[in-house]
Amino acid sequence: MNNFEKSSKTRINTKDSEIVFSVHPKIYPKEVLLKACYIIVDKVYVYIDAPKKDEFTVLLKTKTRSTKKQLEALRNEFLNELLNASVRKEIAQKNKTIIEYIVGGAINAALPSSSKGPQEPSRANSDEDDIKKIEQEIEALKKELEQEDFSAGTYEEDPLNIKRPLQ
Amino acid sequence: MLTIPFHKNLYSQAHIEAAFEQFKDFGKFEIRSKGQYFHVSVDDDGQLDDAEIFISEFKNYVLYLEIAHAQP
Repeated sequence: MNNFEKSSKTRINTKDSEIVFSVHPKIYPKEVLLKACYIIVDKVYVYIDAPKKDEFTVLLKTKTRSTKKQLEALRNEFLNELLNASVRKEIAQKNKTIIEYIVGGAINAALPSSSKGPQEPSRANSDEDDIKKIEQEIEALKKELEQEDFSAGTYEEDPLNIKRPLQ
Repeated sequence: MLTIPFHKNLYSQAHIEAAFEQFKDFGKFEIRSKGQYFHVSVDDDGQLDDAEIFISEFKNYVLYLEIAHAQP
């Protein structure tokens, strides 16, 4: 039995094809333990327990007969997953603020302009200028219409000879 | 009569009871709270061919519910 097996209190029962070992909750908290279980739960039977305040025990039981070596390999795979989940948790915590900024920025960019908060002054000014220009154009068109000479005659007089049938 | 213990820090009563519904055809289930554990009793009337596999499947299903509903 190596040092790790002593410290993790590993017990192997080849008759029932199961291996039991313990992990420390301060190193691998419940959240991390459940994530590692998720990876393996469809392959083997998993049962977790907390017999002491500072100890989680994990029981892995294979669905078919397994040798001691296979059970040890299974435990090692589980321990690797624990480490993997632990690293992922740490990275997620470190990048939490950056992720929040990115997601916030993406949501803000996707929102329609009317539902956004107060706009930047330069942007607001340019919008006002555009509106003024459009209003001036409308006024100019109205004046043009007023000045238009409709004295050529009414439609009944047909000054352009539109009523004439095509040949 | 089979009894399966579930530690309260690792398994919730709601998830254990949700598993009863999934396994209701295998017997009558009862849950009792005792100290740090929930004890699930299964009265199968001797109908279960392989009680060991049934217990393992039941434990796995409850754990699966815990994982599925774990807070990120």
